Order: sequence, then structure tokens, then C-alpha cells
Amino acid sequence: MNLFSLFITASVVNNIIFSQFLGICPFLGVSKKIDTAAGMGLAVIFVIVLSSLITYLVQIFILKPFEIEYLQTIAFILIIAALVQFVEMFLKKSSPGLYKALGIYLPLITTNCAVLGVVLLNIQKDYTFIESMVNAVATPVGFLLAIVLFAGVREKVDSADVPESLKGSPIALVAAGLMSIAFLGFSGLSI
Amino acid sequence: MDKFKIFKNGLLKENPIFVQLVGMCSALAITTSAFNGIGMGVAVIFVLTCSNIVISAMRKIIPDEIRIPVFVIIIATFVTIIDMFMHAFTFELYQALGVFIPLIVVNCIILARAEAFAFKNGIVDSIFDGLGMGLGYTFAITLLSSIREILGNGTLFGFSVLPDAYEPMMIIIQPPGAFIALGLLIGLVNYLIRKKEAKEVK
Amino acid sequence: MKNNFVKLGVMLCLVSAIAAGVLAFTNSATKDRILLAEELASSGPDVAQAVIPGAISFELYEDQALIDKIKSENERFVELRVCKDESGNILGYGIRVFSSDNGYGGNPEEMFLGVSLEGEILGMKVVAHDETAGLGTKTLEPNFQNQFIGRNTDIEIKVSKNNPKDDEIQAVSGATRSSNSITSAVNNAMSIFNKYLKK
Repeated sequence: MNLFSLFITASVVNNIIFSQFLGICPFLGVSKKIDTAAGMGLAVIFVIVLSSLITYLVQIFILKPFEIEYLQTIAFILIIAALVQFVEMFLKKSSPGLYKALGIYLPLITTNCAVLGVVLLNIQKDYTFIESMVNAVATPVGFLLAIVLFAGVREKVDSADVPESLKGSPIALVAAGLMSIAFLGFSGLSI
Repeated sequence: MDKFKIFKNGLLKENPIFVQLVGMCSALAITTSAFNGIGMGVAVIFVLTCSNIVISAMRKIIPDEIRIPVFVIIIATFVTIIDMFMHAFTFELYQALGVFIPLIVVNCIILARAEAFAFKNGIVDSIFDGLGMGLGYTFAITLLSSIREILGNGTLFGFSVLPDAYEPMMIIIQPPGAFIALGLLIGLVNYLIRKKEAKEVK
Repeated sequence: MKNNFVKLGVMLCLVSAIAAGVLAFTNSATKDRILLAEELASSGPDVAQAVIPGAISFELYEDQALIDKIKSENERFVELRVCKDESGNILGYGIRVFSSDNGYGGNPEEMFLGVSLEGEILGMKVVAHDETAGLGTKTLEPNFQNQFIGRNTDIEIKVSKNNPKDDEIQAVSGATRSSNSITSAVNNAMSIFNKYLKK
């Protein structure tokens, strides 16, 4: 597969939210306002790229040679948790501006299944190093796109007259479903 | 605390999917057939109950500062165990659930129960909590996946349940259907809860 | 303070070590069973029956030189098996290939195509797929797959959304991408048969 088509497929055609269903919790939780949604999206890109890089190296140089691939899940989740902690401390010291913008989202990311999902799929799909890096950038870009667009929709939905029982999450899910139909259109792309 | 109450709490009043809205990823992703729903539910019950037992048993010796990493290691261990067993004994189900089996690790239900319940309560209570929450999750995703399978494919557990004249609603099986079906289902649950509360007030 | 750090570190290492030990044990207990399950799902008796009805044995093709040649020239080729009946007569070949068009989930499908010695398609079995249950998985059912059976490997098969012509098969409605993917795999296997195995 060429890298461009991999990028398009991973970002919009197989959009992480609308067709792979990874990272739904932050998608529903932090999408009430456009600017916080954008902050979350950027933080996710940052963490996914870094953790894909490290987990790929760990897989190739530690888990595979020693034939302990069954420790994959446990190793990867610990790497992600440690990485998030480290990034948080690093940002706090080196760039308070960025920390202020992304800081509050970082702890939430450890349990964001998008991160673990992407690093596991990179390995499962037998991607080369370059391919997994492209996938690691493209997938969270799709997340950013989805969450920002969705926050825009949600700001409007909040002011709409919705039946009492559907207020909040139910109507948000239905709105996400309608957006997902729009994203289905991308699957017609042949690249 | 009354054991049955703890159990019922997870099943209905604090149902993870319908009320707490956690663990949504797998609830949306794998609920394309009722069989998948049950399989995923069993895996979650196993992990949740086992991790609750171990964490509750170790709650006196785990230092507060490192409790989260310890929880994560314990949970990941049980997830890997169920992953291996499903790979060995239920191969088709293993393939159908795919990456969502290892992703049970980051299913917020499990960490949330460890932190909010097992770390503060005794072993027996924790078992009931794990079973109740796990069954509540299983009930919710099996209901959702049955609805999707019936409307979207005209079958339930692979058997035809609707007359041939019924034209399946393809969209319900596809990704958008997951969001819409779950949204409406939660709306329905909200409606029932509100109705019950209104009755109690009277 | 420093002492406390060490204590916590040791504690974490200890927990990790126990976890790794437990997993190593489970791994050794389930490893063989997992291999067996993989083997059964990809080339067990059920697969042989679906690929060529009546096949009892499903052995790897013996001429390694030919296998290496096909592998070097066709990257979508996986393996070649010979199907025999009870009395040892060769019924045909099971050609295992990847599809050239990806399935719905973005990965190639992997399947066996059963071809008689004369070049007639006898059966098929998808061994790895990436499809939505209830939708893309309809391409795994007889309704769809029977369209391929009885065709000759000489004519490339195309996909049509409705009113298929003679050289076309009808796509599963709503799952065109999956139907294309399966068909591309069938065509790959047919071209391998035509090039290397046809007498």
C-alpha cells in the first residue's frame, strides 16, 4: 500500500471514531466546546506518535527476540502510562504554555483506548516502521477532525429543543451516528 | 452491605453502559451480532471479577502512591490470560472480537471498579460487585447487539427470526447504526427511569 | 524519602515479575492449543471439505522448487495444497492466496480456492477476513460464494452490482468492497493455476 493512500485510509476512510470506535470516551466527554476538543485532539496526536515509536522499537528489539510477545498488552499499557506521565512532567518544566493548553487532557489519555488500539494494530497489521509512523500520525489526525467537527455540532444541539429523555449523551450519540453516515461516503473513495 | 444489593446495583441502577456511560468503545464496535455481545460480556465478567478479587485481597499491602500502576498490571495480566484462552478455545469469537480483547485493559469500567470499590471493600463484596457490574455490562451489550442483529440482519444468534419479506436495515449493522441504536436505547432507559421516579414521588 | 522511592520501586518490580510469571505459565499451558486452533482454522478437515467437497486429505504440495518459483513471482501466493479423496485419487488443488483489493477493514482477505485438475472451480474458503459481522460477512456465505463454483479458470471474473452478465457475479448489496476483495482473491488464485498448474 502506498503511504498516501495509507494516510487517507487511516484518517478518514477508516476513521478512528466513526468506523473503528476507538477513543469514544474522550470523544463524548471532551466535545462540548470546540477549543477544548481541539486541545484534546492535539494531545492525542502527540501521545500516539510518541508511543507508536517506542512500542514499535520495544516490539522489534525486546518482545520479538526474546519470544515474549504474550507480554505485549501489559508492556504497551505500562509504556503508555509512563510516557504520559513523563510528557506531563517534561511539558510542565520546559513549556508551561503548551502544558497549560494540553496538560489537563494528558492524564485522561492513558485510559484512552485509541492510544493502545493504534499501537496494537500497528503490530497486528504487520506495518513496517515507516508505515506505522504514517498510521500513527494519520489516525489521530482523523480523531482531531472528528472531535472538532463533532464539538461544532454539539454546540448547536445544546441549544436545540430536545425531548427530556434524550438530552445529553443520547442525542450526542445519535448526532455522532448521523456524522458517521457522512463519513461512510469516504469509503467510496478508491485509492 | 447487603450482598444482593451490591449485585443489583451494578446490574441496573448503576449499569455501566446505560447509566455510567463507560466502556462505550467495545459496546459500539463489537455489537454487530448477539453472539459477539455475549462473548465480550463473558470476557469482561472474568477480568472484572478476578481483578476485583486480587485488588481487594491486596488492598492492605499496596501503597497508595503506586496503586494505579499496580491496578493496571493486575488488570492487564487477567486480560492477557483471557486473550490466550479465547485464542485457544474459541477461535472464531477471538477473530470476531479482534483488538477489542486486549483493549479490555483500558475499558474504564474495570479501573473504575478497582479504584472505587475493590480497593475499599472486602473480597466477598468485591466479587459481588464484579459480577454485578460485569453482568450489567453483558446485559447492556447483548441487548444492543440483539437489536442490531435483528433489525440489521433479520437474525438472532444466527437464526432467522423475521419473515423473509423483511428487508434488513443495513445501516443498523454498519458503524452509524451503532451510535444511533445506542443513543436511542439510552434515551429509552432514561425515559423509564424518569417515569419510575415520577411514580415514586407520587 | 529516598528510601520510600526504593521501596515503591521494588514493590512495582515485584508485582510485574509475578504478573510476568503467571503469564509465562498460562502461555506455556495454552501455546500448543493455540497453534492447533490456528492450524484447524486455516487448514483443518472443515477447510478441506469446503475447498473441494469430498476431499479427505489436504497435504502441502511436494515440489518445493515450484512453490519457491511461484512465491518469488507472485507475492500474494501463500501456499498450495493437494486434495485427495479416500482412495487417494487427486481431486484438485487448494490454492491459498491474498486478495489484491482490500476488504472492508482495510486488510487483504486470505482464502483457499479449490480448483479441479481440469480448471473448474470446486469450492472456496476464506481463512482470514476483516469484515463487519452481518454485512461484509455475507460474502462468506454460500449464497455469494456459490456464484463462483463451476466456473472455469480461463475467464477472469468481474463484479456487478445488479444483473450480472456471464462473466460477472452479483455483489452483496451494501458490501461491494468486500465482494470485490473476495473476487480479486479468486482471480489471483485462478491466474496461479493457469500459469503454473494447468496441464
